[in-house]
Amino acid sequence: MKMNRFITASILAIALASPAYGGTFMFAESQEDPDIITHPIGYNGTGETLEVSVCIATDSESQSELEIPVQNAAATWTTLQPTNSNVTRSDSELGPNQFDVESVLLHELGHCIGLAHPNLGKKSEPNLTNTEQEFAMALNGSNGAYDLDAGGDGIPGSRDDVRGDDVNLNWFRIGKNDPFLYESEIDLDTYSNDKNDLPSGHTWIEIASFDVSQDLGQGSGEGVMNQGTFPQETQRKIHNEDATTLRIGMAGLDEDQGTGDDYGIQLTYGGIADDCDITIRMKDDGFGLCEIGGDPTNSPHISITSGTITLGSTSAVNWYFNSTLSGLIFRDRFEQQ
Amino acid sequence: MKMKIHLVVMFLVLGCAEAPSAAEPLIQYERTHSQVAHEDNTYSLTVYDDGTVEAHFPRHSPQAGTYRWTLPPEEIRNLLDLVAPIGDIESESLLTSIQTTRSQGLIEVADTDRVVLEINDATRGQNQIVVPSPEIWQKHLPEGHDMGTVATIAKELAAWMRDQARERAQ
Repeated sequence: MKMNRFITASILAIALASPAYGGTFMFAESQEDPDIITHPIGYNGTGETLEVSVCIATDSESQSELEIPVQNAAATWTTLQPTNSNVTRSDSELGPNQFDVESVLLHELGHCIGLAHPNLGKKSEPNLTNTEQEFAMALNGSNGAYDLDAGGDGIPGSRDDVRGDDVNLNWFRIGKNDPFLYESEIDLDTYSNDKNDLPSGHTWIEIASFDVSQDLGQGSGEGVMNQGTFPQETQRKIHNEDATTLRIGMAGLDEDQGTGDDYGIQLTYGGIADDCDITIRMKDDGFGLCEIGGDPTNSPHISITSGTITLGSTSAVNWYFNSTLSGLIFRDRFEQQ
Repeated sequence: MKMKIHLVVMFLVLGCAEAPSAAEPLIQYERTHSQVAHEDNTYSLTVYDDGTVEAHFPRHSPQAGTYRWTLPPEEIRNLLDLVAPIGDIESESLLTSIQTTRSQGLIEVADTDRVVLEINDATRGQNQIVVPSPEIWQKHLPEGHDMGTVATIAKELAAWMRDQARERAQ
C-alpha cells in the first residue's frame, strides 16, 4: 500500500513535470455529446490509484510473443511520460512490410482506458479519403456532412481549418490551442471544447497529427491516439496530446485538478488469463481494435465497464514482436524490474 | 447532323476504353484495415462471370500481392451460394442495429475495419453491404441477427482467398 502511494505520487509528479494536451473521449461521438469524459474501468468518483489489469486471452494466438509488447505498452500508459517526438518511420528494427505490435497495442490500450481519436480517421460511411481522415474529430453538424476545408496552409487538422457547422469533439488549451504545450494544471479550468475559447485568428481546434507536427517544427511526433499507422513505423511513447486528454479525465467528476476525486492509473499485467479488466486476443482477419462497455451513472462522465482488444492473426498481418522489456513493469499487483 | 454523328462515335470510343473486358463482377469482397494509413490497406476479392478471379492482399499481409486465376463453373456456383444470403440483407438496417447498440447499450468499438460484400447475379439477386467489422458487432447483437450471417460470409471468403493464394504461391 505504501509502495502504491509512493508510485502514485511519483506518477503524478512525473506527469506534472512533463509536457501534454488535448484529444477526444470514447462515447462522445456515438452519444453525440462533446462534453462526455470517459474514465477507465473501476472509477466511481473516489480519488485513488485505479489498478487496471491487462491479460492475454487463453485462446489467443502468439501468447508468448505478445507478453513483452503487452507489458511494455501497459507500462508506458502507467508511467505517463509524454513527449512531442515519439514516431520513428522506416525503423530499421522492423522489415519494410511489418507493423509493430507494441505500437498498435499502445493505441488500442488508449481506447480501452477511455481515449478516442483526435482525427476523423477511417469510417464505414462516409468513405473518407486518406487526407480527409486527417481532419480533427467532430460531429457532422446540421447539414449531415463533414465540412472539410484545410484553410490557407492546406494542412488538415491545423488551426486554420474551416469546418462549417461541424461540432468539435477535441479538448484544447483555452486561449492557446497549442497542442505542443504541457501545462501544470490540466482540467476544465484550463481546457475547453468550446470554439469560442479559441485564440483570436484560429478557426478550428489543432490536433497533433504528424503533418501538423512537422509543419510547426515540433519534430517527428504524433498523438498515439491519432488513427493511422504506417508499415515499419514505431510509436512506443505517448505524445503530450495523449497524456493531456488522459489527465482531463484524471481530474475526476468535478473536472477540477487537485481535489479529492482525482485519480491515477496503473495498468498491471495479469499474464495469460481471461479474467482481467482488459483482455487481448490475437485472432481473425482484422488489424487491431478495442471494444468497450460503459456505465453512464455519472453522465456526462462515463466509466468503462469492460475492455477487449482484438489483434489480427499472424496469417493476416506481418507483426513485429518487440522482445526487449522496457524499464518499469507492472505485473500482477506491482513489481519493479 | 455531322456534330451528332461525331458525338455518337466519341461515346462509343469512351465506352470501349472503360471496359476492356466484357466480364462483369458476380461477387466482391473487401476488408480495409482502418488503422493502416498506407494506401495499400485493403484485402479484395472479385469473382467475374467468365470465371476469372482476382484477389489482392495488401503489402502487410503474409500473402502480399495480386493473384489471378480461373474457376470452373461449379466452384463459382458454390461461391454464389455462399454469398447469396446477403441479397436479402439491407446495409442500412445493419448500421441502424449498430447505432442502437452504441447509443442504448453503451457499447463502443474503435478501429473497426470497413467490410464490403457485393453480389450481382441474375438468379440470386443484386446487393451491396458496407459494414464495420461484422465479426465484432455480431457479438453484441441477438443470435440470428443478419450481422452474424454477414460475419460468417466475410470470414469464409477471407479464408478461401487466403487458401487459394497459398496454393498459388507454392
